[in-house]
Amino acid sequence: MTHGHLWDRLAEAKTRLDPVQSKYRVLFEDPATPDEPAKVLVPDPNFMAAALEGDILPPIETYQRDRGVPDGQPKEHPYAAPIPAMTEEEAIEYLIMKDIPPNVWRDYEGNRCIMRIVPVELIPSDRNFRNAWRINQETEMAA
Amino acid sequence: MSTLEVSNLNDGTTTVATTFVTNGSAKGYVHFNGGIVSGSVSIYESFNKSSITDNGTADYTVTATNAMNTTQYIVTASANANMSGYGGLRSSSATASLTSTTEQYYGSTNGNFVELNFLMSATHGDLA
Repeated sequence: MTHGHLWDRLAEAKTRLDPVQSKYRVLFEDPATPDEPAKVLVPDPNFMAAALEGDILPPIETYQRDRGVPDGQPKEHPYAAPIPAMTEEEAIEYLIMKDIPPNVWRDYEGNRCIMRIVPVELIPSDRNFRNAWRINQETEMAA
Repeated sequence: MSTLEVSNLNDGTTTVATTFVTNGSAKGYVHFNGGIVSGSVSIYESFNKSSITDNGTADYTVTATNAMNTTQYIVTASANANMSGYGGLRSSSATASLTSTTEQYYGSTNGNFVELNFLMSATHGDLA
């Protein structure tokens, strides 16, 4: 049996899997844009359900290779064989490597902490000064 | 799972190619809270999305699980700012970029960035 296309697997999964709200968020600052505030990555509940279920998402390496594919050329990730189920923590790591630029999680060599995985409760709820958010360097607080 | 292989669909009077249906289907959609309801961004409903990044005031990046084939795809977006004091449909813009695939959303009223409580969009075009 073939594994088909990723989009077909996602469509089928949505009919039978309940969304999973992650208890994590990923705070990060992009060294390419140092004047911008800290960003907050929010995992999609249907993506999390697919990651925890297994046999739906492609290997993360296929997304990384597809970053270099020119516009309009065939990509690898929709046709790759799916990978087994992940834990929630593994799914967050997968998401970091997929959706956050590599200059944040792989290439940065400075001393400043520019990325943290935090429980959702640590994200400030007061957004009045949203554009002033930075990752706190002195404590374990989120921002 | 069985597969039905047909080239055309006919309702008794009109015949259309199957590709007419598949090409016209939305390849992804999302409906999310821009942060002012609960204080943090959250996703109400979605398909073929992997995450939303809250970039700052009224500025969001949405990333797809299955990328589109080119950057020349279509995003249709709308938003609602049903906040105390004023409400109704507000403008938002969505820009398709990168085939990885990301879309950028901005909430605005009269040119000013405004955080919106409901943002929604659908994506059309060819899948990778």
